[in-house]
Amino acid sequence: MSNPESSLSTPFPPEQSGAVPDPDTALAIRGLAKRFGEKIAVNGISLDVPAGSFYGLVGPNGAGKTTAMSMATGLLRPDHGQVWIHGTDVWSEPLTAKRRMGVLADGVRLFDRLTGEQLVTYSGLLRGLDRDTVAERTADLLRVMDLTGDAGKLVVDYSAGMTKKVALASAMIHAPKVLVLDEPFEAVDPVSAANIRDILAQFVESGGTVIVSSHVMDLVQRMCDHVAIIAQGNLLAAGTVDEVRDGQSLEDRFVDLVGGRSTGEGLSWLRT
Amino acid sequence: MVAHLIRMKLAITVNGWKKSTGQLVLAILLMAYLAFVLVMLGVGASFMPELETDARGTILTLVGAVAVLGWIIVPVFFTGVDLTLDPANFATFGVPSRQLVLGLAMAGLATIPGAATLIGFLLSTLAWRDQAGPMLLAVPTTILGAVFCICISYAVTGLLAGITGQRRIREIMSIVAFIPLMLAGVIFAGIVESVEAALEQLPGLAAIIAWTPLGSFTGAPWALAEGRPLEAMAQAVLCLVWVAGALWLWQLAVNRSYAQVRGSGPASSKTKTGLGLLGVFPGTPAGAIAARSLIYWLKDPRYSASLVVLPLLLVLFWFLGYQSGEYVMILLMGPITGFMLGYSISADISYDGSAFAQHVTAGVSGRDDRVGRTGSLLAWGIPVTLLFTVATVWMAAQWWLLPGLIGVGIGALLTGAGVSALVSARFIYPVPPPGASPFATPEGGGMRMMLISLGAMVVVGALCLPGLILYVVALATGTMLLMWITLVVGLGLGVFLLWLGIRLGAKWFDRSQAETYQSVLAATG
Repeated sequence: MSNPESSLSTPFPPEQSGAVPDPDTALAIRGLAKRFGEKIAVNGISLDVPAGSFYGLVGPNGAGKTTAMSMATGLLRPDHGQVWIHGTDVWSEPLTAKRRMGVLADGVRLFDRLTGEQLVTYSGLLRGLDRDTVAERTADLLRVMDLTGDAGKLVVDYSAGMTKKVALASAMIHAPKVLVLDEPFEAVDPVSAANIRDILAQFVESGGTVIVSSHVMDLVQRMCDHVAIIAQGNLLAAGTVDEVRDGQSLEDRFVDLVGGRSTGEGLSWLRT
Repeated sequence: MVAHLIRMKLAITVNGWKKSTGQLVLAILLMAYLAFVLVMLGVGASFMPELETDARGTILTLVGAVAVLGWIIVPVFFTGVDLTLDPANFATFGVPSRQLVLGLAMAGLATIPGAATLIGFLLSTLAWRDQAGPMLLAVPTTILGAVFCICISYAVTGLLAGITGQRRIREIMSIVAFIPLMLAGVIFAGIVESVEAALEQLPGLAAIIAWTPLGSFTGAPWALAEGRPLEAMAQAVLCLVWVAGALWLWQLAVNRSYAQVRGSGPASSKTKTGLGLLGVFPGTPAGAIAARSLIYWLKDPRYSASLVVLPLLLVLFWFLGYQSGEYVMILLMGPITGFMLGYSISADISYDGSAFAQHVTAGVSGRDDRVGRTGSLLAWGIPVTLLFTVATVWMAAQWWLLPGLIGVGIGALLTGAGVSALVSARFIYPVPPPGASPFATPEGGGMRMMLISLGAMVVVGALCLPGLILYVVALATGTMLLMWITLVVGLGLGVFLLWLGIRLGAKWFDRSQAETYQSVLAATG
């Protein structure tokens, strides 16, 4: 395995304590760390996500993606480090920072005894939007997510893909500047996924920032303009997709960096 | 296969203990309790040869019947008792259902309740230790009895799971089925005129039960001891028939659940349009939270289940009044209602489960969260408490008590809501996950949950004391003025404590949102 740092420019300035990063940086992370008992889940990550970028966060299962995203979105208090959303510290000014963020957390329940329409409306009202705006945006969101026909169904009876879409709609209703989406395409059918990708691409074009985690490299390579690779709680590489993949496919580069490929020996009995 | 399943069951149990000391302590307590019961059973059974054959047989048959009935009924309410060995989990392994059933039955005997049942049945044979024949017959029939308990219990839950696969039906059933159980005492008292008459009926009843799956296992030795060998043989054969029948039913259930795994699709449900209550409440964060809470009160059985006891108490108190002609107990209804309703939202965030993430990421302020949740409760809790108070005062025809009772009842409601607003902001304990039976015991609940809820109850009770004491004094001295003072003090104190609870709860909520969320995640997943 080659040393990842040598082939890449350092994607963020050296850590300076107390310095508030440029507000143009959509998401700035400095020295973020979290330990659960013996296990270090996130081991001092620093990262800058420029405004208007479509940023992919990739890593093997258990790499610390979800932990890092939880700390960036105010769901999990970090042991060390700081997080800023457009220059606002998430942990010292949570209300301002959260207003700028739309979050899709992976694997959490929704208030699924509400109908799809009620859930999106609920999200809008929670964010303090007025009723008319909420109604208008809810209708729009349900339409683009192709959920209008199922708007009156309870979310508990939705399929996995529909649940993902309605959660995404709930995360977008307050028109955030930054969308932080943990595994947004999991269990979503190809057509809906393509629609969601279009929506996100439009959002980025209009100046918004999208951060997605995924372990589908191909998808990240096609969709994102920036990417960061995390494994075992460490940031292995970060930068534009072209910088990171360095001429290879993102998947090959990822396997290079992360390691752990077995040599093809193995299940000798698995023959027919 | 059988050995694998038993080993897996034991491994799951032991791992559960390793994970949490509380569970281990609870398991030890349970085992100690069961050991105590079994020892008492053994001692009791070994003294039974002192009794007449008739009495012995009656007692053994009825106790056996209760044990079998317990195995049939209890798992229906506590769904999720043994989900780790749910046949559906094995569907993908392609184990033949006959082998699987056999393995699960043996694994079932290896659980604490299974083993206790087996030992208990075997100990009951000591009752025949003075007669070789019945004792020898009792050993195989009681073993069959224990096996039957396991099999029929799995069969019933399995088949019910098939019928109750639809969410709504299952939810309603789990509450409705609970009601007759709670009213059993009243119904029983109503049917049986006197205890003596009932006791005279018992031997005859037991003799009939001995021919059913409930009684054959302990009834067969009785018949032999009475000197009716043919009857005894017939009942022993019936034991085999019952076990075979239970196995067959169980296999049917397993086959069905296999088929369901293969062809599981999303259930269709009715759609409705519009925002419902979300459109009625104010269009603010607190209003939305209140509307959502109220929707959950209506749609989530875990909420309504906590209140099913209220109408039952009303019936019970009315029944007591009807019997004695004095409607005194029923006057407690108003205060009890207020107390229980106020306390009922003390686990509100726990009930949200990880859906609470939406409040955290939206940056909901503690004030909005607290006001919304308590507001939705008070919106219907105050009218209901008032209704119960006025209705019971009317039944008892004691109108002069009304101001005092309202002061105590509404005061308890407001105080309870205030304490809940504080407690639920940070203390999270395991509750049944959304969609599970509301009476299911959540994994790893135990001590912590009991301590917190008990503590909160004691605090609410203590804070209600001023109003309560005033009321009792007013009642004892018959002073109307004191009744009015009770009303003012109860309401005033309630409003103050509610305000204080919301204020402090909001602060607590704001300071530790992330920690609260992580506790919810850990408790409910």
